[in-house]
Amino acid sequence: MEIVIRTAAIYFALYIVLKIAGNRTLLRMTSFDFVLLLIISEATQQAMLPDDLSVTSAIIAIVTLFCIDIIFSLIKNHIPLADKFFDGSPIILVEHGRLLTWRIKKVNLTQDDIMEIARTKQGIECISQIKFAIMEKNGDISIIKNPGRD
Amino acid sequence: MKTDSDDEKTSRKVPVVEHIPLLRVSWWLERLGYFSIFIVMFLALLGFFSNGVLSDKEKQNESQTLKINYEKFVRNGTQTELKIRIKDQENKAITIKISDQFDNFYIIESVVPQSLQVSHQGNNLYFTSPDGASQQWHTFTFILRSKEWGGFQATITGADGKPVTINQWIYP
Repeated sequence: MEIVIRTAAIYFALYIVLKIAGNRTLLRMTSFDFVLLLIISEATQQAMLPDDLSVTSAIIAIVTLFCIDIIFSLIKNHIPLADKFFDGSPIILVEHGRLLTWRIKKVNLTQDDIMEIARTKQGIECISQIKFAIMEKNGDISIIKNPGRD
Repeated sequence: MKTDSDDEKTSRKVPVVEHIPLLRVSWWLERLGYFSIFIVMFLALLGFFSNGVLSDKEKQNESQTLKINYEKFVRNGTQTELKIRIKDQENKAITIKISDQFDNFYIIESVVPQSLQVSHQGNNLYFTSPDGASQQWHTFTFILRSKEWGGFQATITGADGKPVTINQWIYP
């Protein structure tokens, strides 16, 4: 019983911390973020299965993690508002070449960040060439080019 | 008239369906989260989760013949130290009585000095040490490992019968 409770507690703690840290942490992974993830995985493993090397415990922990994940998916599928709350909704950051500064500030990005992504993904040089820049639910930014401004 | 700022706060339907009110709630929760994790780290530095200024405690009895150093906050499954200093009144064996839930909450990993004799009566544990010279301080160190979580209270009584009550919180 203890393993299930420990695993569930760790799952929710990690979920909350990663939500607070924001999507940027996972999506734009630097070498430091990679090291951070390794340390987190080691720390969580110790908390879930302390002094326990049995295969049974490992299986129980894995099964519990998947069960919680399935329950979350079912909730999100049946309650659309819960899906929006847990995963967020996409948000437009640039609209017809106009920067939406209030929104950009809220999602902790800068104009330079958006231009960097626009250059990398679409070879765009200036902001007027962007029709829409949309931050997706997973934190990725989609760039839609303005067809008339090539 | 709608300003640019008001316009930005309005949810769009094209090319994606936005939900700005819900996003504003999640941003507000995110800010609250930043604040909370900094507070957690700060409290951890101060010892709110064991090992620190807030956690280290010293208590003594009325007659000042029994002093106890312990940690107010302990994490379940980790080691903690309980140091009991007792002033001997007469030339006879020193007995420390630890009452209540001690057995339920802790595993005694080691006791220094190792020559202590242990006996059990009812809910109480008795640790007896052969006496040295009178009017001297004797130190007994218990290395404990918690096995349960929750509020823990114990009454420790020394040679002159004046008790010290310690309260601990053991985190899960």
